[in-house]
Amino acid sequence: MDYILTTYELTKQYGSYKASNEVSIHVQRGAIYGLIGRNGAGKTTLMKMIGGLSRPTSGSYAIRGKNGESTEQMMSKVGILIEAPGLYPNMTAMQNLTTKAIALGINDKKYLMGLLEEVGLADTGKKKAKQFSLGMKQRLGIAMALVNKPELLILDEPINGLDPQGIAEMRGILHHLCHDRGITILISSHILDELSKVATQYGIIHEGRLLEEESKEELFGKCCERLELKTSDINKTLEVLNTMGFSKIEVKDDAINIYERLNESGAITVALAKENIQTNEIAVKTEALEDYYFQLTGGNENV
Amino acid sequence: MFNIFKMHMYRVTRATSTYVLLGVLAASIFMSLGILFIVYDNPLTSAISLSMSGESMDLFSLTPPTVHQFFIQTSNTYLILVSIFSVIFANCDFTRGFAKNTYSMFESRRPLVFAKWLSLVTCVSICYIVYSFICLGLSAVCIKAFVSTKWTEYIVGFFVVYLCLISLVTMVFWITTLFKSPSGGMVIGILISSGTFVLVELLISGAVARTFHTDFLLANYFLDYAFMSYSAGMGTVATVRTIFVALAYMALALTMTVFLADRKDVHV
Repeated sequence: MDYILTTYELTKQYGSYKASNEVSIHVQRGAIYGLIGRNGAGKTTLMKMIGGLSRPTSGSYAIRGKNGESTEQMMSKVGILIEAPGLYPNMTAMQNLTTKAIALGINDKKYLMGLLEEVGLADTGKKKAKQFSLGMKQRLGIAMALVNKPELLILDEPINGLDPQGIAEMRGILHHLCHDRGITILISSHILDELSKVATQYGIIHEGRLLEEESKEELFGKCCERLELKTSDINKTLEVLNTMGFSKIEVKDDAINIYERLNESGAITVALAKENIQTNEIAVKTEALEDYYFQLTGGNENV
Repeated sequence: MFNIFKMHMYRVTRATSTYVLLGVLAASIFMSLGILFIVYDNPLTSAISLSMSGESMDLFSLTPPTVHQFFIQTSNTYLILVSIFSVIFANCDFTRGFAKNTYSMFESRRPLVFAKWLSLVTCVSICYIVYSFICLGLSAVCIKAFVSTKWTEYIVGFFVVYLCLISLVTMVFWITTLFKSPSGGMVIGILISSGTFVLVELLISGAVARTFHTDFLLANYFLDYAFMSYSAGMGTVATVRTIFVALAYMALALTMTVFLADRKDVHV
């Protein structure tokens, strides 16, 4: 597997509290890796360490397979937007970009204008950053992160606080950057529905620990629709279902979950009635990403 | 590193605070000039000076080094404004969050800190040279005639005061990095530059002298006292000592700043 970023038991400890606890993630090249976690789960801490803003207490990370001293050369290939975008409010979008470009030795106004066009801010002219809306500031933050032509983009909650239009625009930008420019994106959010629309790889983080890491297919496989069946006799019901040719069945507590042929609830009810089994409840249920997350982290508070 | 230096110079020329401070500094020149006239064109102060030191103290006794000392060292306005500028300069990229953009690109933070300090020193140096010449020029026009002085003495004095100033600015740079708070850095910077600590230093110095029955003046080795008490023509020993104190404090403050920046996380 071609990983652009790998962390090895990355830990950040403040006193006795571990904000990030031996987190090992593997970000595939060209992926949009979504870090899911509630507020305070350790997403920002992890991103800050990878972005070079915070020193790990222990553990390490490799960018393009290079770690230790060699990571230094790779940092120029990483663009970050962590928490609020770092902008000078009295400067225009172009001046903010120019400031970062000077630090990198880039003196190409056309290139910078191209970046502004990419994020839809080319026509802001002399408008100062302090007069920008939150969405515009976030997009300028992304343009700033792109100045050094990164291969890996780290975006911490870039859709936080945006209105629906802003969220849609941001989604468009992320798709463009990943698919057209081939930039790998590590993005965090606690808005799970939104993250599920863009990410291709997921890491679920809770209380500083990485609980699961999986591909979109794996995760969505766990969040699929099912037929939930409650009857007077579970064992007899299973026999009937076997006779009918159902194989993707799971018994959970007092219910039977069926993961195939969801439109055959009528036939199941009739077959059960023939065997004198009473159907107490039969319904198609969907386990959303959110439900799966709650199940995994053991609660739905503060997400 | 040169690119980071250029970046700081770019942003400082586009910061509103730079021009506000320059405006206040320009206004302070006239205020200090007024105070100079009140102090030196006053029969009472002249009589007191004559009776105490045997030297007359009037406008016609002024030399360029005295005027320079008055504007830069005695008048607190200049130092306080330079301190405020240094605090704003050192803190600006952190308070605005811009530091995230630069700190994330380099694994080693030393060149970042050094380039930032160098650009701060450049700004303060330009300001020092321009301010000194404007003050001297205006004073020359208003006083009509300066008492002539040895130009070598003046040039050495000009350089020593400059070194002390840069050393003070480096101290403020370090304190600002340490506290990561504009208000905290500002308060301490103003306290240093206004000479508030000088009294404490003299008290400590007096206590040491009494305890060890010595003429040794410890205060000479405190940067702000060394800076404020230095005047051109004090002699080789005092000049060398002041240069040594300025360089030592500068090296210490810069080393501490680099050490801090290297170890601390960027919280923006």
